[in-house]
Amino acid sequence: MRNLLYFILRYNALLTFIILQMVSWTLIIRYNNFQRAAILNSANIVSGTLSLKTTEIRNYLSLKELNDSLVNENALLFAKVKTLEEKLQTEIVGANCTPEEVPLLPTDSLTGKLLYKCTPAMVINSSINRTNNFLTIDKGAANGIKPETGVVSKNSVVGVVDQVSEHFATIVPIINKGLRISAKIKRNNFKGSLQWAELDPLRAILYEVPKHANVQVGDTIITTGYSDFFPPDIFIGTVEKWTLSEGSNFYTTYVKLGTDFNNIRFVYIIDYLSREEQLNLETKSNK
Amino acid sequence: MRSAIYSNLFRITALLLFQVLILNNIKLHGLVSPYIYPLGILLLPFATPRWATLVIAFAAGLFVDMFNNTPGLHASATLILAFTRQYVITMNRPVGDYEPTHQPTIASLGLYWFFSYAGILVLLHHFFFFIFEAYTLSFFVYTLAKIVASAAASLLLMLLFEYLFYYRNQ
Repeated sequence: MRNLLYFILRYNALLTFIILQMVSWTLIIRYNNFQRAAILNSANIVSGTLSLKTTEIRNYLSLKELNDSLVNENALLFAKVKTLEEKLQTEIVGANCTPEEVPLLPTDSLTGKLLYKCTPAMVINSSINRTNNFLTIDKGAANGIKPETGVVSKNSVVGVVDQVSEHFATIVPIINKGLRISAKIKRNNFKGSLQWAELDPLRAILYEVPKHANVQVGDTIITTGYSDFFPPDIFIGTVEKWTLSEGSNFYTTYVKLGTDFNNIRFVYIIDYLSREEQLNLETKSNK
Repeated sequence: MRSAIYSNLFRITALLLFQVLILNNIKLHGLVSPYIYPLGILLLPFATPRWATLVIAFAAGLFVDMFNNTPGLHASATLILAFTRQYVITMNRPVGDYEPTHQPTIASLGLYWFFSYAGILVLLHHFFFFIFEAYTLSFFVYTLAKIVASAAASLLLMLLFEYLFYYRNQ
């Protein structure tokens, strides 16, 4: 005890200095915002870095659990995707398709909207190996489908709507001997008439292309727009081979179709929005 | 003894009031902000007990802090000045050592002694004050320039003060 007193007496200046210095630093830190912020900040940097490292280590140690949970989640998501996909296949997206869905169709250059009324539909029945093939779709008059409107797939021309019931419609595809559509060669605009080459669901024949058209293998065949079924310039297929019989003035051009009728699933029914106007005008002129 | 206490208290009070009422309001330049109040501590007699020096320094610093809105900063720097005063006095011994009649003034120990004594302590005081105030080493060169410029200005003021009020009297 005496030693302590002696110590205090001897170092009274130093002790006073330390105590008062502590008091002033308490004041500095309590009442000077900048210094307080700096102290808290550096404290936060230290504690923050520390907790970050701890979290990293903890994460590393629990990688296995994390992995398991991710695998489970993956399985769950896969199941979900599968059910959603099935749902999507049975319930076709919307009543109207967007320009992105069917890039084949022409759009209004100003508004970017489709010039044709376009309804997506799913093929629910099809035949490919008969002389007169048909497709059946799951949309009918209730969805605004009308007879004698064009049908395209994502890639190319499919056919024309034939019969319409309340909820279903049948389509006469290109691979039906009964359908002839007007077509032309994209490169030089020579026109012809396209009809199915029987018994082959992949090919059709373009008749009546004149001799001087200089058809070449690989030429692109597109619609003319003369029939009111299809808009102009829709892809049909490419020239696979051609023949020119002796004494004939017309090519017989074999066209490989752009639509694969073996596994066609979704089609788009297109209805020219100004079709009635055009038809009325044309009937008037014919009188 | 009693009159010494009174005169010192009076001087310190006068210096503090001069500091907070006049000097704090004079803005010379961003770099130069002189502080004259440490002179009150510098001029305390050699015989003053060290704890008393420290308490006075603390109170004086706190007083300036109150007017500058910097609680603790001046108190801390002035405490450091008061604490180191003893060592500077010991180191800065004049030829033939101190005599009982000596006072830490120009009149008593000469300009050279006083200048080195006050110079070291004022530099120290300003160094710690501005470092604590800046609280970062990012602008160290600027802070250093501020310390040197302000210390020079403070010293000049202190010498002027000494010559004006006390040289003749003693």
